[in-house]
Amino acid sequence: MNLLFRILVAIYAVIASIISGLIMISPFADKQIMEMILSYADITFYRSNRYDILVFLLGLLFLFVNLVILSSGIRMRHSSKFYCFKNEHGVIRVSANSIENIALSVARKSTSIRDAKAKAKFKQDAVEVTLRLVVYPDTQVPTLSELLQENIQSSIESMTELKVSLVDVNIEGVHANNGKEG
Amino acid sequence: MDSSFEKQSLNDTMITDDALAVIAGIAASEVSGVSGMSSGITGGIAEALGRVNLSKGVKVVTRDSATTIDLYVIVRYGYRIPDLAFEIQEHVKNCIEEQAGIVVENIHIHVQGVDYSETESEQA
Repeated sequence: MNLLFRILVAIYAVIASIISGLIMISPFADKQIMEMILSYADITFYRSNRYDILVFLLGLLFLFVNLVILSSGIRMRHSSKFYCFKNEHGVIRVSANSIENIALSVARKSTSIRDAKAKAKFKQDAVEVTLRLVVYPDTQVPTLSELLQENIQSSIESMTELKVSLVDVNIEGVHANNGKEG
Repeated sequence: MDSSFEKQSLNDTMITDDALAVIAGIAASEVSGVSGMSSGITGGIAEALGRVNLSKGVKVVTRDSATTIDLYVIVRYGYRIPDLAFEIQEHVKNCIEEQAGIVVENIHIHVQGVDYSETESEQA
């Protein structure tokens, strides 16, 4: 997401610079050429209706990118992707990614899980963990999820002293590999 | 000009923040339970290009002769983060005091991730 966003901003910046460059050049360029370009644009885009939707979509895309950039500036300040606590030497910030890694490491130990994704969210003094799993066939889901919830809660609490308020286990799928044994 | 420089050099330690960052980076990696330092995207690219950066994941800011250090660490699975963070802070503080003679005001620890690869977990 972060990388994608950066690429998006980079592309946006390049397009914006090209446009601004064109605007800067336009007063000094050959008047006749400018007129030609303008009349060409006038005839193809303004007079005829052929590209109406295309131009509209282009504007919409531009607006969308603008909104994304605008909202990201607001959102970043409010996001609580860290859990902070203080000791005598300074502040310690634990990222949500760390909590997710702990949950994943617990999940990886189980042999009946093929794939696991974790998402951690901080709510006040506690953390909520959502696990999304793909399990192997012949897995007893209730037993597995109960075990996972217990282990994840205890290992997060022992490692971080952070309360775990919720461990959601979502089974996203069952791995169907016919030749697979055990 | 000369005298002010002399005066300054008598009062201030002439150690750059970059040098402190290297000391802090090495000291932090020495603590058992620290898997490594986290350098972010730009640092990752520099590393992929083959540049070894000892001060990776360390930010040192000196303002009004008070030094603040930010450490971006990845810890090993199984270590208690509050205790480990305290240990890192103590160790880095001691190392810098010993080697540079600077009293560090604050050391902030940013735990960026937990390393749960198998080879490491056997020690824990």
